[in-house]
Amino acid sequence: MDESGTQVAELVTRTRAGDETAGRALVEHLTPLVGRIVRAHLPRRTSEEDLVQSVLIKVFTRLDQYRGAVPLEHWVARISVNTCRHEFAREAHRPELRHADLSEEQCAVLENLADQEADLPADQGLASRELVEAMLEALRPEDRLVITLLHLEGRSVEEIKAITGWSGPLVKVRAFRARRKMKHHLAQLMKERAT
Amino acid sequence: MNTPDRQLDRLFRAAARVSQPAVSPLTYPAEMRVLAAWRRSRADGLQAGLGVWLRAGFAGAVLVAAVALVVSWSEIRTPAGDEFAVADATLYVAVAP
Repeated sequence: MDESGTQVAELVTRTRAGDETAGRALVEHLTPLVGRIVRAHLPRRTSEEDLVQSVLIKVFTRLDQYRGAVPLEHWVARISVNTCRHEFAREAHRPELRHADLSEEQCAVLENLADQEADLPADQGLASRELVEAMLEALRPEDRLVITLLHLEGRSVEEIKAITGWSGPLVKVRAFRARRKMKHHLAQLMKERAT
Repeated sequence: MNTPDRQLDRLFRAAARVSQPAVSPLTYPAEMRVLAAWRRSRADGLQAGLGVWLRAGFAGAVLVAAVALVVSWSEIRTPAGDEFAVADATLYVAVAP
């Protein structure tokens, strides 16, 4: 275990023993990690800070269940992702994105995708991200999660297995189906653009 | 060739390149709520531990009582042959001195 790992393990031990200063230090240590995950998987109409807070409460109230078999960060990431997934599942309505809903910049991204073959220019990055996120909203929570982890965060199947607890084949099947839905959705937007 | 697969990959690549702004630290009230929930769960855990000890103690007491009952059962079942002897003697003394 490296130095930072040892320090984190010590913080966990002290927090379990009831040391409030260690508890505070652990909150500070985990907030950036949880914040990054929550931001990447934030459901619509959900406050980022509220969700970070919910995740941290879960982490702290279950700290006695942490056995140390995996790094604390992995264990926390799994809780964060599962909490976001449950929040997604509570969304009853998943609106399908129509071409008429797109902003001017997002329409330009579509034009570029249809007409060019090179990678999109850097100045279209933000609009691309917004477009992908809007398309993801129409997907089921599991599909959204696997696309975000695989294609936006660039994680490997092994990492996704560790974060979600799914088996390797399940990750691949979900990724395949989610990608097929995204492809279909993109083709639909292209078709609407042409008409 | 500009297939839908390629288009989607290009879209994903462009979206993934966007760097996210740094995560701001948790606000003081939110941090306090996390720590309060942690303290509450610890207290609940201690109470649950106490409850386990109390239940175990009660079960032990019931067991001891049951063993004592079994051990003394034979004595309880044995009829006392001369339990009225003292009373009879008193009557004799009172009625026929």
